[in-house]
Amino acid sequence: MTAGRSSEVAQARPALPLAGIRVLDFTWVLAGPYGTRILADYGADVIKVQTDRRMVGYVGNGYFTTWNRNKRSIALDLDFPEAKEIARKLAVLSDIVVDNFSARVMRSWGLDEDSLRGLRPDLISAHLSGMGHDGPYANYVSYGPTAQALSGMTALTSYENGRPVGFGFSYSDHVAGLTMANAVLAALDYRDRTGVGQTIDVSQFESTAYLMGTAYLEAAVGNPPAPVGNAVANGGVFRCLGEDRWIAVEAPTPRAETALRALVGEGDITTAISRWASSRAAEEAVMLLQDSGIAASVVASAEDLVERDEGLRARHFWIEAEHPQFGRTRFDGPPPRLSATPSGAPRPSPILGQHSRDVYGDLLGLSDADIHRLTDSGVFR
Amino acid sequence: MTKEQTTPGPAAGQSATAGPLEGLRVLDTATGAAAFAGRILADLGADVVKLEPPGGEVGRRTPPFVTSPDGPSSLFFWHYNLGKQSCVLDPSDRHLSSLLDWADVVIDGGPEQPFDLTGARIGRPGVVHAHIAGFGAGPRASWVATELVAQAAGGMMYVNGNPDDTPLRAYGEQAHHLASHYLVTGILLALRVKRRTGLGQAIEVTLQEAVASAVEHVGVLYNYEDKVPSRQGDLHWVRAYAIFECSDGYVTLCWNRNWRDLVALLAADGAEGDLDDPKFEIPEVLDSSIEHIREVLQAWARPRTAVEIFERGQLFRMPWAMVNPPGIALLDPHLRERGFFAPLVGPSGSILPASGVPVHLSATPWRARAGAPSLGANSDSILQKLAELSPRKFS
Repeated sequence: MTAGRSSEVAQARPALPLAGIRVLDFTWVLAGPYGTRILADYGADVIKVQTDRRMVGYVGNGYFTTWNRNKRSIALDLDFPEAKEIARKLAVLSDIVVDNFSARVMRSWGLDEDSLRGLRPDLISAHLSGMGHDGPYANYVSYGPTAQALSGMTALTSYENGRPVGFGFSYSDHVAGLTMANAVLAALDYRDRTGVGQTIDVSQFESTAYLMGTAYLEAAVGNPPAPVGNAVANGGVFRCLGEDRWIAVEAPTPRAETALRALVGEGDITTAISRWASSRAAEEAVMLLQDSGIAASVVASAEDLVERDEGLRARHFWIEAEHPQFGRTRFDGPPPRLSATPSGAPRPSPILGQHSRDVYGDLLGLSDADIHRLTDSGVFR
Repeated sequence: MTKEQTTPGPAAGQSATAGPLEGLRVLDTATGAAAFAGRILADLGADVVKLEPPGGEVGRRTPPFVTSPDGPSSLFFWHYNLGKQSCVLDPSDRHLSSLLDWADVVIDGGPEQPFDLTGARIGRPGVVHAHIAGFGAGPRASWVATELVAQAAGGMMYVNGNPDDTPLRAYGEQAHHLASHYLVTGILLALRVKRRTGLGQAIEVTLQEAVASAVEHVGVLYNYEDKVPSRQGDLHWVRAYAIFECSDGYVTLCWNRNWRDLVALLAADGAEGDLDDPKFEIPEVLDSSIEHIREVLQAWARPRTAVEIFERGQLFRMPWAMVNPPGIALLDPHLRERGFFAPLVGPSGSILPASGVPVHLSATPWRARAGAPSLGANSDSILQKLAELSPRKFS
């Protein structure tokens, strides 16, 4: 059995690490939901606050489904004054409140920490935004590509001597969400030991800049880095047989270099690997290289990752959950593999308002009559 | 023995608390860029002891270098080991056992480091034993990975780069960065369990899975739409962001915000062309007109500066930005005003701008606090402390 994924069989296990922690989640699209997903995966009760107006994702159901498994959903339209009062009551019953709005929006709803801290002194209030809540760009609009471009990551993710290419997707959304999750977990640890809550201001720009390695240091000492593409000593990315099939190879140690030479022959190393790889299937080439102790992989497409990768399959990296509307849904499982408290068997992403009754009834104690009235009047929509 | 590097800057002087993880004891044997996990914990206030063999770990010999009084010194090592202490032991030294007794968390550098940590949890049930692997336990346990290989194996490389060209590596050590962040996630989760039960556990994060969980559309499009996304150059997969040349560099522009605002922005300069034709408000027409839209935007952008385009776009609520080279990002007024860079004494003795503050925490800062240690800088003081070790543990 692979460590770090729970089997279907119910066994006496320690409770999940975040059992008993409640997160009131106002985030949407990718960065915020990616951050709260990891909290939900490890047992936090993440309650997603939505309206039907904001259910729209980019690309149909898969996008929402992938980033929102294991969460609960309530429908609440914060344009109604009564909705704001209900949101405040839920916030007071939560350990963590997360949003990705501008500072102004949460304040106008009375959901900023200044409004809530009197009611819940140990609250952890996490704000995720493109630029953070102060500074010259505080009110600027930012998506993933914005933060990537400003940080320098786009410019340096380019071929040698070429114009900028950058990422084909919003990498910094993942980065910001993950950074926020770690900040929340650290703040939770501090709260548990001291009883002190705090406010967390996560900027997507800064969390991306934190992953720029030595680039700023090199610039500061007068040698700013230029893009180098895939350049490494003794390796690179090489075309194999088949359409758009490639391998990445790297032999960074003398021992690996010797082993690589034994496979690909003499002469210029790049030319030799290139010639050797071009007459082989990518999988075969990788097998030969790894058998010789050389780091190598197929340049994996989505199909490779989901269908062909034996390692990911054996480790149950892709996990599935039966969704009440969409049938069987599949998504990537959480990377941290904990031996004693693995992530739980996944629950599918919620339908809008799926848990309204549980949350408003059981948690807030609203009567059925009240829930009906608020649903009919559009507050719970 | 060389002197311990400390920071004279305000960043260190004013820190009343050492961060949210103050008091947490971490023994770190990770090497290369995997040392980033320990650095994140140090930035969060943990007491991180970097255990190295005589001669130091490979990161100390990894470029780029700067000149220091003792010869070339690695900026790579400095960046990935900020705020740690360095303890040098021979791998057979009996003090290893005492260090394991001391630690709440052991970050195991695996086969890349020479210390035998297999028994880290034997007789120490409270220890959290964490490691980053390339491919991890399973049929590929013996496979080796580097950064380049991990970006390929995790599906990131296949979707970065030009369609008719080689798949492209993302800048830097992103697989190691993601895995380090996720290792910290695992450690913080395990510490929470430990507080409740007294028990530690083992944590594994693989480079491959860390990457494969951070490639936005790759799994989504395959799992839900049976599509295999490929490379499309500087065009983001949603087909509405791309990179444009301007008078002094490049900018990233998008055209999927409010279309009429975009047309109004261009029209103010008489540069809207035919984009005011209402047909472009039909999504299908828009999507089939990408080349044309790019031409119009390119013609508008070319004579303008990157900063001018950034500010103008933001006035119209467009998430546009300069494609900054790192030297310009280093001077960015927003990063400066928010104190992102922490001035710390670098290996050459001069002050360097450390990537200091990724997140603002109001009560307990997440912040780089000190430079990286010279080799064995703290060996004596650590071994002396071990001799008088109190039984107190992080709880």
